[in-house]
Amino acid sequence: MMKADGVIRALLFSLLLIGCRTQKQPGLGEPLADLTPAQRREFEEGKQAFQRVFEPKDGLGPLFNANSCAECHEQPVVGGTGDEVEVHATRSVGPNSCDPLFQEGGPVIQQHATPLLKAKGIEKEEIPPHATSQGRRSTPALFGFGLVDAVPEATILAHEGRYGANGDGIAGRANRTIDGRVGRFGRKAAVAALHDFNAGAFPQEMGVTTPLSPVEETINGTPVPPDTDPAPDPEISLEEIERVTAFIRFLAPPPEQVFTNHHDRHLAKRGRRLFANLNCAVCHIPKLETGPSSIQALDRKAVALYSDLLLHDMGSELADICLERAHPSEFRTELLMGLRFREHFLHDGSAKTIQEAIERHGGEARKSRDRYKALGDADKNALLKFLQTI
Amino acid sequence: MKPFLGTTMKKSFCRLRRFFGVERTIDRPKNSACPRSSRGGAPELRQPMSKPNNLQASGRCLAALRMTIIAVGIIALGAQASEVDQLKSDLIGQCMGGREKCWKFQSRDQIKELVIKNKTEDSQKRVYTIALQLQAGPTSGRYAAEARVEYTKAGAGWKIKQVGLLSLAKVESPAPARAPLAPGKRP
Repeated sequence: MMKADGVIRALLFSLLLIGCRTQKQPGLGEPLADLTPAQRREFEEGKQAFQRVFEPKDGLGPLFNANSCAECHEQPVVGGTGDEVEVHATRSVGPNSCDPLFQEGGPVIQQHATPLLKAKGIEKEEIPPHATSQGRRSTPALFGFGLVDAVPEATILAHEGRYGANGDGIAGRANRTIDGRVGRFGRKAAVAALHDFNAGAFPQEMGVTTPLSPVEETINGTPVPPDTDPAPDPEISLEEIERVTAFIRFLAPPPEQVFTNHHDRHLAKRGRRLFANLNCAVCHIPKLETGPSSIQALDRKAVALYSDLLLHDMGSELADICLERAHPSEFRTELLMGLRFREHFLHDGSAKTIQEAIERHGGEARKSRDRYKALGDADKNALLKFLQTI
Repeated sequence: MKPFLGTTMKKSFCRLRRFFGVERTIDRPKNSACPRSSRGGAPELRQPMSKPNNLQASGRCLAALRMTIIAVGIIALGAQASEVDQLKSDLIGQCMGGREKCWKFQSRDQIKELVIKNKTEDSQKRVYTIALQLQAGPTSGRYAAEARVEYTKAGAGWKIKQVGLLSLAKVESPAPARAPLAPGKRP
């Protein structure tokens, strides 16, 4: 009797394990698991809105960087990264104050103009005259951004400054938006919420006005000539912003790469240990947890973003612009989620390989970088193999 | 037993009566509660008059006019103040702009100044253009913004629909905080 009971228990346990193993991880570009049918519909509708191509008659420009969200976020699937590199510019005012130069057309400098504006002799926006620095920005992949948005502010703040005692001089701090919220999106963590990020993308990247930004971006502070913008403002509705936000909110994080052969699996496991031992994981925290949410797919989920979402000093060689409280040399810990799908690295896409990106870390990451450089080839390979799983 | 009105209140009341011309120094009734005073009342009203009846009538007209002007002023100021107050309350929780150029109104304390620059209204829509001075906290930067606030009709009242950011600029040198006025002093 006891034996039969044991067998039944073992069988049930095996079934449970099989069930766990067969629960399919969403593929790249697919929606999160656990979405309701209505949320799946929102995702699909949002994906259409995300791929909408704007023309001047729909509101594109007169100044813009791209004519569609998907023009930049396209590789390897819609919502991913792209090869476009933007120009941003701001002005440092003393050691602790930054002017984003809103009144001079900053911080995003639009690189293209519609034919009507070109006819007036304006090809693009110039760097604002009062800018003290400029930087280049590659396109981030948006996978898993809904989960990042759902990480509570308290979780981010809980990691602030806590690494100061480890002797490596690593101490992150949160950036704050101009209205005082904790920032998390953007390379300088100057944007607090996914909705704000998307609402700003329409006017700043596509020159498309919205009910929240109902006037066109200026040309370095000068209003656009009236006959260069044929579409009435606002050029899209709040609902269209919501649709795009729903697509990104429900876009699943990239699935973890699982190597099928024993050798690679073993190597990646060793690389994971090295990642921790080199103190990479101090800033690139492998997982954070989302807070309570009315959306089941976002409710208290672990998200493998590999970031603490805090600002860290990366050294003078990488320094570019200030933004809100971020100094020129401070950057938000880059999310490594989806690293294996990228072709360019660092905030400006200037590193051609992961190795180059690691070797160009400075500031708070200097000691970790030096330890990496001191590794033998076998260990370096193990670390890279691990990074190929992310 | 103490009189109903305290001495100070009574004096103030009398000064007001004189100011509005309800009681003039020259024709003050003998049983008036107001004492004779060299202050208060318009100077011309303290001169002897040759035609008291005509002057009495014109004085009353003047008094009525003064009261009307002041009442209209008070009502207008009050309405403006309550409208500004209502706008401040309605803005809480609203977002305007986007990305780095985004303001989410989290408390009334963040709105250092709100001035209504324009207001239009039809049966279904009310639109304000407002100028704002915004500051997230004592150590944060100060921003000057202009916004378009749109309301829609909701039953008998109005409901805020959306806030559009028209312009935003960091204020380099915020004006020093005004010292509180001493009681009784006019700005």
